[in-house]
Amino acid sequence: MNNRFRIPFSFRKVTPLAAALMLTATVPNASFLFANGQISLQTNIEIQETISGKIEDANGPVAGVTVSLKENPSVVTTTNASGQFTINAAVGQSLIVRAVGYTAVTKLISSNSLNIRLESTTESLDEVVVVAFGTQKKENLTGAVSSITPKQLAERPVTSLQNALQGISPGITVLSRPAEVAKGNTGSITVRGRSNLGSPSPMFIIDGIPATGAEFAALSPNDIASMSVLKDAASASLYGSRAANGVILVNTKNGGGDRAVVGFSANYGLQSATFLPQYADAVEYAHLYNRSMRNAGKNEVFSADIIEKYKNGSEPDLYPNTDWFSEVLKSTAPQKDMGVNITAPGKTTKYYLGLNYFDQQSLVPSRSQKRINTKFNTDTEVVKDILRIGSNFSFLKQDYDRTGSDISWWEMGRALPMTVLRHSDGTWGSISNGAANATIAGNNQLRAIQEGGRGTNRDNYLQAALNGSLTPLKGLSIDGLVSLKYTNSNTFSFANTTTPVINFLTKQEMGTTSNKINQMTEYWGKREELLLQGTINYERTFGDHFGKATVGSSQESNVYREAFLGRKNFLNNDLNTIATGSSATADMSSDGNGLANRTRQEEWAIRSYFGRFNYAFKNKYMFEANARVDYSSRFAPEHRKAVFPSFSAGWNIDRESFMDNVSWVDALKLRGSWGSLGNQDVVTIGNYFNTIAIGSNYNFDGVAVDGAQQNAHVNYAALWEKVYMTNVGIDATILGGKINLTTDYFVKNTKDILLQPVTLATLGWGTAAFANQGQTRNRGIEAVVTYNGIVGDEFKYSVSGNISYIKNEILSLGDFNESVSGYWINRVGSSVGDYYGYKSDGLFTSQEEIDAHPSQTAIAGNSKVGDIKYVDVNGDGVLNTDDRTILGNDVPWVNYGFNFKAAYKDFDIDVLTYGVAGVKTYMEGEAVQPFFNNGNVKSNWLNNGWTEENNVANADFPRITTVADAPQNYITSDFWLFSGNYFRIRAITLGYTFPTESITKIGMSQLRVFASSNNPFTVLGDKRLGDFDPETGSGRPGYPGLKTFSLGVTARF
Amino acid sequence: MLGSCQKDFLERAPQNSVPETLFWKTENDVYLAVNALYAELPGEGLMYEDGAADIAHAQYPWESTSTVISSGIVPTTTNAGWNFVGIRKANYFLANVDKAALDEGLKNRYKAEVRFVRALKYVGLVNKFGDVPLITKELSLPESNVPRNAKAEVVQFILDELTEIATILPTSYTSGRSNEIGRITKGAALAIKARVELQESKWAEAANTAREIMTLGYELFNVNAEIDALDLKDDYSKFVDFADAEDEKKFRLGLRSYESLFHEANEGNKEVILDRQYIEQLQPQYTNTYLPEGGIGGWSSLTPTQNLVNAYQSYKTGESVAVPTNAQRADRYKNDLNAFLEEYKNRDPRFYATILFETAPWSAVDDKAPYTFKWVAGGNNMSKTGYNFRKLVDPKAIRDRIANHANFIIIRYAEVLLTFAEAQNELSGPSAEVYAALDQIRQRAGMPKVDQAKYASKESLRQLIRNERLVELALEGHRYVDIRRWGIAPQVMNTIYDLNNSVAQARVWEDKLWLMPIPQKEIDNAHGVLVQNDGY
Repeated sequence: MNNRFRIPFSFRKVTPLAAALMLTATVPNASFLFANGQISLQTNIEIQETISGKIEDANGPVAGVTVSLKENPSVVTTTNASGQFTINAAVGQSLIVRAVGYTAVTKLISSNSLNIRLESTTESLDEVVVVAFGTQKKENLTGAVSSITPKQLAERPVTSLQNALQGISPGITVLSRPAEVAKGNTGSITVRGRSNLGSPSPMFIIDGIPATGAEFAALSPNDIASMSVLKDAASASLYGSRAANGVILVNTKNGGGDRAVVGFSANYGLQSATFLPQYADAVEYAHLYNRSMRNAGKNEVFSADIIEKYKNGSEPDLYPNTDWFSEVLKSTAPQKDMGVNITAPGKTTKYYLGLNYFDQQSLVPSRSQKRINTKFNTDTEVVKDILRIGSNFSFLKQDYDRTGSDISWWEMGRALPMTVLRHSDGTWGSISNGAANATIAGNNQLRAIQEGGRGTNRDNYLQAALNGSLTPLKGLSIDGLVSLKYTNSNTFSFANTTTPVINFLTKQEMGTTSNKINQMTEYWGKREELLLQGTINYERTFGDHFGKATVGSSQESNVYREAFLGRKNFLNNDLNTIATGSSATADMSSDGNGLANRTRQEEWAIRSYFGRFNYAFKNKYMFEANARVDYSSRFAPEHRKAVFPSFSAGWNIDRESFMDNVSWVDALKLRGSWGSLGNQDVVTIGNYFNTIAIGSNYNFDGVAVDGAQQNAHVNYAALWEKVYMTNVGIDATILGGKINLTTDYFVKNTKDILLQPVTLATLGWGTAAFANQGQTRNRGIEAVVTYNGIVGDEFKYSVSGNISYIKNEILSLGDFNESVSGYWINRVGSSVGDYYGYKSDGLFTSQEEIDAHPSQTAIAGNSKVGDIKYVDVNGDGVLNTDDRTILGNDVPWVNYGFNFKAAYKDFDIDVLTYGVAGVKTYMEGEAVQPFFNNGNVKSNWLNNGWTEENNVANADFPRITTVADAPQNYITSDFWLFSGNYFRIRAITLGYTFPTESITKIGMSQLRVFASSNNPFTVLGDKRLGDFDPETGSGRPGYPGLKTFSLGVTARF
Repeated sequence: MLGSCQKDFLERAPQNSVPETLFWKTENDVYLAVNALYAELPGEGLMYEDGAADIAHAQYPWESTSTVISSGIVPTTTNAGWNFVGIRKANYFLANVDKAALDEGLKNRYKAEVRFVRALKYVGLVNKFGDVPLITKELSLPESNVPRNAKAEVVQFILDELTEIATILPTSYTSGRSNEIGRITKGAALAIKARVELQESKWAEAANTAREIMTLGYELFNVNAEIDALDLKDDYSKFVDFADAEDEKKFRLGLRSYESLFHEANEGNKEVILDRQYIEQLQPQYTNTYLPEGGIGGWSSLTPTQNLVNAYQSYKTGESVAVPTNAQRADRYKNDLNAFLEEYKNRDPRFYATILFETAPWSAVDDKAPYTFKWVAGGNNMSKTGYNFRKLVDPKAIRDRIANHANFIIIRYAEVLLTFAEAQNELSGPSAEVYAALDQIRQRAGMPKVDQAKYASKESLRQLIRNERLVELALEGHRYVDIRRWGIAPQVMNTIYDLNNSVAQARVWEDKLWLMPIPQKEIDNAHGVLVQNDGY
């Protein structure tokens, strides 16, 4: 491997000179030979001898230190246990000595034997974090910013960005919302809870360029250099109108260092479901169904001998016991991730190249996602110390493939255990509970995902960005950024013609189970995002004073255009182009937006001006002021402008002379900020614009005719949503760096909240345009404490705990004090996400109890023993709508987590946990309602539900019936409100790093293997729902939550 | 900086629709806007009105509100049709149409079509809720919290509107752009007017309006021969004792005439006064999914009750038949199929065209295997009552494995004849005109004429007319209103049983159920402006 740069490269005359120049810039010690019309490249080879030495720090010899030759970094070695090394080098050359926790040393070789002394670093002082439009020393920060530095990332390799974020700070909630493998699965990330009543997603900025959550999710952790989360208004206000829910800044790696480093990483994992719904099996179903019929005064459906057949399984073609979830879904699905990256220095241009490949199979058979992600970042010093030009190129290719049609979770949720999946003769199931049933047979999801058709998504995403920095004078820099993002996406879907299922009893075709008309549809989309941005920075230090000013402006446009094509009636199911379909007018496809052969376009633009001023005195007192002015196309011209100012200040108390004698305090800082932010993203494009939609609406006499009608309710006066946030924080490091503490208190007032007002039906619009009404206040406390400990010399550990508690209050809703919508109420004085309905008090256990209780007929019909007893909240002796009350809240206002990290010798472990408290989940549909939608029932009704034998008021479930037979038990009440609290091990990673001396021989500078698991354990707050992944949000059927076990390796050469 | 940006960089108008400022200019604009209003006409969802009454069972509470309404336990969260979207659309049209330049006559006609849609929406609202807000102009958000107007005021508005509309609209259209057949006619306006007058017991007005429609050229639909080979396979001689071949032919043609009136092949026949039209392939209607049983791919969403089965008279005598008790029927169903089937013999041809009962043949749905109906008690997608509907289902679409695209008839001439008969009888008792109207309907279906000697009094004829109306218009969405205006809802809204005499659906009646509750969300968010109906 040491020879890899010694191979002469020959370039024929057709070779672009630029490529050759690129190589000189990137391959050190390379030079060109011009001879015979050829340009050839070779590296310089020196005459060498053996140099030996010893490396020590204040405590003695240091093992595992990397020693490399400055003139040829491929010559590298490490120290042994007694701190000694030998290396091939020549006197007059220099050695570079590096080790984690120490300042790097460059040493001129003066003799054949050397002693080198290392100094340990005081890391926190020089730590630099990414902030809006620049970087800042951590000690000078005045806002609430959580960050992951390159150093931390290097020390703790993360397997996903979500995990990287989850651990770093309280107040950042990362939920892995399960979704089937397909494009656009991004999970959900919230910063400091929900404050408006709609979109809580933060703004993402990757390499200075606004990005989507999907782009963020597609980033490879290998490519990340650093990441910051701007939590308070002062830090985020330079992003103005889109930063109300926080900003996540990511910088990808750039070239540099003193030699080219090639990194490699790979991991292979198996995904499986965290929870699958526990539906009744055939025998349980039969008992529960019979019980529910008896409870409704109806005849039982399943006779004893039929139940016996289910029990003994003697006639599986008529009386089967099918577990649909385990039959249709795979128990595990693999996931692969591989990456190669090159970090290279250069005389004038340094570069970083990252290549990543990700392959994820779905738990639903025959569907997978493949992703290729390429990043190429360069940084060129065009005129030394004066002009620098950088570039970022990204290419992302995301492919999703499926055979069969999309799975219908709706049908999965209602598939019965008494329905045959496949008969003993190999034909698809036609029988449910002993009788042929074409409707049920046609809904067989295994058949659908095997024979229903096929589909692909092809998303290609290209970004080219150029940034330049001109520094004509010391302290002055003029920076510009141009970025073009171009996304091209294609969604292809083919619905097959299918042959009918054969009736197992009669052997006749069941006609309606076949699909007679096939169809192909394609969506072609392209998105162009153009960003132009310029900033001017000037900074100067005079004496104890430091000042810096930044002014800038930017403009962004975002245009999306989509074509929809589709036809029906293809000759066979194997055709691949629309041209092969039928040209009959009636065979044109359609979707929810109308007929095929159509394009649509959506666009928006924003233009901004901003400025910042920083002042610091003796690095003790810091002050910052920001302002941003935004103009957005989403608003009418008169309302388009918005101004977002902010101020913040910091005090490094530890630098005061009175702290000189307080030796146990290493660092102590007090921060405070106030600022305003805006939010525009909840406003649909065209909210202010009255338009008429044209579309195929009706038919006259066999011919389709177009119609025209108003598109949507319009609010011409919609304005920005405004957030005013005050933040006070303390950062402290004490006891010789053993304990780190960061705590923040904030008040976030959100005004002019853009809501779709709750409308009355008499308005005549289903939903109204977004209007600025309502005001909320979030008050929150966040704290994170980390303890770093060492036991002996070789066991290092850190324990960290974080908690965030937010109290939300609705301050105003405009004209009224409350509005009810579905299960929820927004009421002034209470919180966003409050459930509203009847309060329950267990179940009735006797008729006398019912007779003595206030009549429930007005709200719920005639209650029977075993039915839910509702509370007469206002005590007026009758139960009516006036007895509804607030029952709980669906927002997790308390979030907490613990992290444990430890390293012993070459082993390391990292455990990440996460929990929420104080949250309720309303369960409906298949999650709790028996036989909902003609479906199954959860098996825990069997033993935990009310029965005449188990006539107790606190049974888990009421008298079982179909929902239609006892609607009184299914009105909105807290009986169906389950605790949504949970605590989960988010991730465990166990790693082993090979000793350097053992790998340098094979040319490696680092080699680590690891095993990790995501979501291995979850503790649920409500025993009634043991089959529910709390991050799914609802207990209804859907793609299950995932846990993964994976093995991986990372290496550097 | 940013020198390249144009002044209009931030002007990003929505691209997928036409700015209102460029609309309402031409005749074509208005033409398109009128067409959009037609999509507000009700379709096959009207069937669920019968599921909310005594003659059908809507078994799925998640599909419609009919399940809770028929159970009698109606929580105030139920939305039985409190909807003003179509009314808003019509008001918007009427507020803007005058901006466009077009022929005054055509503009008035278009306005009349739109006003008809609005009036029809109000008919639905007053039938469900009684007093409702009468909104005749566009409302802004702050204006939209409006109180209810008295039902009488709204009904008067509907009748005044329809009266005027009828003077504007033509009797028929010639076809071609803006004159398409299928548009709202004078006949449609009068027919809805007659319907409302009947509902409001305005007997003289209803009879007069119906009489006027009877001069417009509508006639009952008839087929003269069975042309579908599959139809010929249906053997009804098992069920009916035919006197001779001529008798059998009369029976079969009666059945086919009544049944195929609703099929796609006969869309727009002379009996249709107004139908909801569906676009071929693009806009299926769902009768073929909702009504058939699971064995042939349906859901059994709406199924006939024994009440409906009992209403069909004898084919032989034209009189009502004695039916077994539920217990007797259950015993026979379990022990003696032949005895059980006796109940389904010699009934009105419309019975066989409307209801699928045990062993009933229906060859037209399957060209491979002969289909006869078999009930699977307790099965998914199976009837809870023991019967399924066949009326309104287009069997050809089932065997072609495509959705049903037949237009759904909103008003047909038979209803007008029944309206006339009922109103005229209530006004002045039996008369030749009344008998003639009834006989037209019965004879089309192959039934004997009314026995004028037996039904000579207003009271006896009233019962016959009500039964005839029930049988002829079953599943077309009239029953919910009929049992309320006749005051018989408390008597007929009883628990329904299946063939095993097991409860299919427990039903109770409370007097609050004369009217439906205003949805609780509306009451809550109206903050006192809307007052709930009594009893809720």
